Amino acid sequence: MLLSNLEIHKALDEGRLVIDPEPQPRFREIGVKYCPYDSHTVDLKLGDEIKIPKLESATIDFTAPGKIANLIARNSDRHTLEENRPYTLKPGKFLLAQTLEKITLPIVSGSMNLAARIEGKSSRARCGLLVHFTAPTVHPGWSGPLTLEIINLGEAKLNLHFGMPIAQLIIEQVAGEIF
Amino acid sequence: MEKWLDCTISPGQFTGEFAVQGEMFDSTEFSLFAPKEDLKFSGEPSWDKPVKGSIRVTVGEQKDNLLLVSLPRPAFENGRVITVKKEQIK
Repeated sequence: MLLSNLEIHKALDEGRLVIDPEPQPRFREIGVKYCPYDSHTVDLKLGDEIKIPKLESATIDFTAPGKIANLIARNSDRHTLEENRPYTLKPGKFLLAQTLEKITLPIVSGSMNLAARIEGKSSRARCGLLVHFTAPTVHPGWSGPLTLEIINLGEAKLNLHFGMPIAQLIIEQVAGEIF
Repeated sequence: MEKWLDCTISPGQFTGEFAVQGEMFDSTEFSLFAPKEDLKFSGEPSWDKPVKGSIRVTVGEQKDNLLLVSLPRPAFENGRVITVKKEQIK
């Protein structure tokens, strides 16, 4: 079952879901230009760190145990986004980033636990921006920012700004106990 | 039950994250990215000088000398739950 925006608020209030910093405001009011909550989603923002993979000369062998994390980490350039200084993502290019928010989904024994899925935003997708393409699942027990696999599939260059709403989170209830 | 599993730690991709390399019960290696709060080590790991340390795990089923443990993040090779020897755990 997907949580509605009001159920997301309730989960935040009860500590079954932690989003830090918590997206604000919770409600659309007169004069409020932006509210991160839609009917059953909450927007997440782009954090300030970007990793640009430099793996042109590398071959990743998924059956070679123990080496993948080190190989990926070693072969990427770090870029820090600053206010008013966006990173321009060229067509066809791929990078990694993280959400500004840290997401925590505590596992509580005997309780209905929560999981989540991160999804793109249609307004961005129409311009060719993918923010994840294969790993949307946030498991119960997760705590940390979410890593975004960003690729520009469009024809235009896309400016990525620190703090821009970039993805949306869908919260789900997990039925039954977790082993 | 929370315990610590021996591992080798080198820099990760993002701030506060490290690349972790460890071994399962049969010496097969696994790797993952883990946040600093789930690791214990001293010194500052670098590419040239990874450091020995340990990673937080939750111990599940036990049989003879083997333990099923849950890592704080999924390993690239095996997912989140792996089998290790008792002596690898502190």
